[in-house]
Amino acid sequence: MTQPTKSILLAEDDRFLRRACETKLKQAGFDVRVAVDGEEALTMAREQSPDLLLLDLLMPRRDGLSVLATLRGDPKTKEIPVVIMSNSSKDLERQKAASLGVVDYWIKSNLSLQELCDRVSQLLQKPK
Amino acid sequence: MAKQTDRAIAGTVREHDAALGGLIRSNPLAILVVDADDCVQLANPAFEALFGYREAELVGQPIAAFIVPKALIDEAAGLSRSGFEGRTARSVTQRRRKDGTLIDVELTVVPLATSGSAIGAYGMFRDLTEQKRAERHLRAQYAVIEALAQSSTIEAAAVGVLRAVAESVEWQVGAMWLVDKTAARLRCVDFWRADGVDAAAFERRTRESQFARGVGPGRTWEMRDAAWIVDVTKEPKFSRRESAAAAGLHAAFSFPMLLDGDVVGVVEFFTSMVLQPDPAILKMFAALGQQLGEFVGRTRAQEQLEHFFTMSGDLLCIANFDGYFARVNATWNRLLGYTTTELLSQPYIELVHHEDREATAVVESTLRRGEPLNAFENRFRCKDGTYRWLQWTATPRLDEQLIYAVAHDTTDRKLLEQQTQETLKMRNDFVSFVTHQLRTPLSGIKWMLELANETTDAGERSSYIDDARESADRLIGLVNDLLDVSRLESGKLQLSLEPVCVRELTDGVLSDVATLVREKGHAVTVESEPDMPDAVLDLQLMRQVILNLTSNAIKYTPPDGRIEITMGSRGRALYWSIRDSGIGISPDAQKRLFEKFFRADNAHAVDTEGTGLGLYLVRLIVERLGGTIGCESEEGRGTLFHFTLPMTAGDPT
Repeated sequence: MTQPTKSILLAEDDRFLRRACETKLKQAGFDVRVAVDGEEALTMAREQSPDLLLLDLLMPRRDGLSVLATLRGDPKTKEIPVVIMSNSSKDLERQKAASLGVVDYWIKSNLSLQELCDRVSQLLQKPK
Repeated sequence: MAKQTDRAIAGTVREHDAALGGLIRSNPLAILVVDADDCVQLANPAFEALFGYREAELVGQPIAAFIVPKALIDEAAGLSRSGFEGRTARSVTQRRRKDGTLIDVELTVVPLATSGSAIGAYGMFRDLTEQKRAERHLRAQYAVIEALAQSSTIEAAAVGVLRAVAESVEWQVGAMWLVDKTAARLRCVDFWRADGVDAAAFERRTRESQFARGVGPGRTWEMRDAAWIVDVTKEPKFSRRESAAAAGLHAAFSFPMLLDGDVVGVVEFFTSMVLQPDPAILKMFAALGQQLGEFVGRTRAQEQLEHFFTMSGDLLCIANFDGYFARVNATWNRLLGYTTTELLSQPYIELVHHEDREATAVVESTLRRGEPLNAFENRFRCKDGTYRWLQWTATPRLDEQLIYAVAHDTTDRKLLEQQTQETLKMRNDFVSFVTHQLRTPLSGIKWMLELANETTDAGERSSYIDDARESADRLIGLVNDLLDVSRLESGKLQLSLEPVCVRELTDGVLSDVATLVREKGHAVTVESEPDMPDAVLDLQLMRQVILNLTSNAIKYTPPDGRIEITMGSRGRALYWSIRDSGIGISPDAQKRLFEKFFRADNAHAVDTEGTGLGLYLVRLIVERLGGTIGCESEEGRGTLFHFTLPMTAGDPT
């Protein structure tokens, strides 16, 4: 019983974190695309409709919350599941993200790559 | 009408008297009979008692010569004439006793007639002395009450009181004394003398005098009772004897002003006559002494409150229900800068900050319903246009339609609260910002090591470890910046001064960032004066300034930009500047550019790794070296940063 490869869009401006995540998720067999800033994330999300968007908050050109709000305002993209991956633990940002409908909110430094990968797998195995 | 003989009249009268059962002789009214020439024919015993004349002294004599004061001769003749003409007449007037004193009398003249023709007249005198005295005393009481009512202090009331009392007893001079508890002396508060009394020297002497308990008016103080001196000029103990004699003053009496049994003052009066003690006068003034003492007590209590009103550092006021202040204390003038007139002449709501007016109006209507107010805060405009926060406590008086209110100036506390909140917010922002900035390279290190650990490929592993090291370098850089900032802020950073060639330093920095410049395709030019002297600076700190400014120019200038560095000496100062063709800085952002953790919005869009510490650190270093830094910029066009330093750090430029 083989499942179609799940696609993940990873929006992360820090090149070290981006490289690490991308490497790990690809090793786990996911189809991973990366965006280096908010604008790119928005464009790619619209074009590819990924199964999951891993979205950083603090990014150049357009911040994560703005990307999220724009996606939610467009019928074509509003169903894309989004997980916020940030190192900011401001309550206000959590609340804003929650109000825009996200699957989860993860603090990067608190996760190992393995944990991150396991959580992603778990999310993507769930039937829609 | 034939004139009857004197004897005939006397006979007729005696007949009348007998017929009436001795009505004339035994009448308690003083009765006099005169003939048609106004000569005395008869005086009854009551007349003798009242006027002091024996009947025998008067009979046959014209009455006007004895009992009529000179000024009243015409009046007396007119009254007699009425009687002779058969008419009854009545007058309230004065007559003279044998001893010369005047007495108030009600005189009724009745015709004396036989067979229908008048042959003389009866004069009936009712003694009005007591009645007149009672009236005068009543008038004096009213006058005293009036004087007290119109004055807020006994000092202000003194002259009015003295005049009222002296005039009521027809004495010529009065003085009021108050007890000075600290000095244990009586001091003269005020002095009054009737018009025409030449008592200037006595007044001066009295006003200058102070008396201990038991001496002079101090005797009344000691005895707590009224005292009478028949003649002060004969009283060896009376210290003002000579000046009193010169003023023609003789009898004196004094009475204490009593408050709850304590003597608070003494009132004394003097007259030009030698007089024996008059119990009626003494009795009357015992009551007055009580009244004056209580007034002193009341005004002192009021003065004490008045003191609080004036002294209070709080703003005290009484406001009318119509929205105007009725009274304000001096703190209002001091704190807000208005005169009392300015405060009372406009509705006070106009002084309230417009944002607080609605709430103030609500509170006012609550007060007007009779409910007290607690801890309400609003802002009042000062004369200089600034505002002060006031915290109010107020109580309404419905019967008076007044609001009594106390306001405490809480501006400083409000400011402190605001500052504390700002400080707290800044600290929170700092913590969450630093947390984020530290977590990112930490995550990088952690994940790269995790990947390195998992791979079997040696090349891959070493590349992961390189990335981990680079993340660690970024982390260290951040921590170092934070540490530098902290040291510079606290002034603990030690400078290590040495001669520095700024041109060489700049070139060195540029070669360090050459890769970045090349990647972005910027054209960089450096211009310096040919024989610029070395500056005495801290090399490491200086390098950091130039590196930060150069990195910023590279980072915030879109590819293929232009960067120009200029330097030179200006007198004893070193000038250094860097101009780029970058994204620029908005006017609002320029104002906050050198603040800790400040990052312009457009800077953030270019790069999220910035810490908001770079320019702050640059400013701290330049200032530490004794210089100044500035910035000129236009959004979208580029930015010029420039700083000036003393050629020797710390010297004046």
